Amino acid sequence: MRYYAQYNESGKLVSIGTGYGGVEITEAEYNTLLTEIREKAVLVNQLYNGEITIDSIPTEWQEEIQRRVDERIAAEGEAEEQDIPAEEALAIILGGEV
Amino acid sequence: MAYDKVIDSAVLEADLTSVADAIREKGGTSETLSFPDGFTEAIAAIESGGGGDDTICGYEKRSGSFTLSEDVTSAYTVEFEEMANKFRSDFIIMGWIDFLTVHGTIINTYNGGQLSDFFLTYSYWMNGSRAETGYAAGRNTSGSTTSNSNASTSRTYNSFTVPFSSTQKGIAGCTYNWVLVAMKK
Repeated sequence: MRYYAQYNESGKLVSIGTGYGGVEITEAEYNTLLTEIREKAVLVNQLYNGEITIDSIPTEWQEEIQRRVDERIAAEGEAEEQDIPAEEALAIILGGEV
Repeated sequence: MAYDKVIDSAVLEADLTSVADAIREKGGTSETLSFPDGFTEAIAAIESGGGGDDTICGYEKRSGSFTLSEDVTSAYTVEFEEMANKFRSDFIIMGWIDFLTVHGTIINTYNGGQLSDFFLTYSYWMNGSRAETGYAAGRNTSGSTTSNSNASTSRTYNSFTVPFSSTQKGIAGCTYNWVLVAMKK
């Protein structure tokens, strides 16, 4: 079984996997990275859901976890945005029906 | 006991060590191997087809997996070792990408040395909720023809593209398994 790590142009880890491609790594390295990836994903979900605070995250991960949560919030905000007619917007501003 | 040949023990030991090193490397182990039982056991334990560069029913197969480090909202390219039959025009490429369950395949012809738009129908479990999306250039799992508006646009025989998007994200930490089989039409 061939294990690999895939990095982007900036040297940031994009993915790990089995099979062809990327930079070959050992099984032990793969398992270590897999554990870290999944731990971070859990922390992102927990911080996003308010189940934990940033202080309960390992210091070296705080910046990344916070960034990913901020990105998720921003992405959801974009998805919810929608154009509305000027009249509707005016009605909202003036305290009319939303 | 009569001896039929005199050999240099240092040379023999070096040769056996060389063979043992090759077995260990292939088998992914660092254990000491006894000769001959340890050698034969270690060779028997070596898994075949690591990386998916083999065949199934005589047809080329590629397989692998990937786990994303962060959510992906744009097309993601998966590489595989180039198929030998890229010049055949009568082969179909079937693809699955699967997180936990196997789903249907979208099949189209393999034409002119390129992979045509194919699959990817995939599903994944996310926090207990199942999300399933079909990307069709042919038939979906129900046998109905569908549009290929979301089909992979990758046209090589050494990679395919997973059409992740903002509405169909690749999920961080999820392991996506995939298989490609070049089957005769």
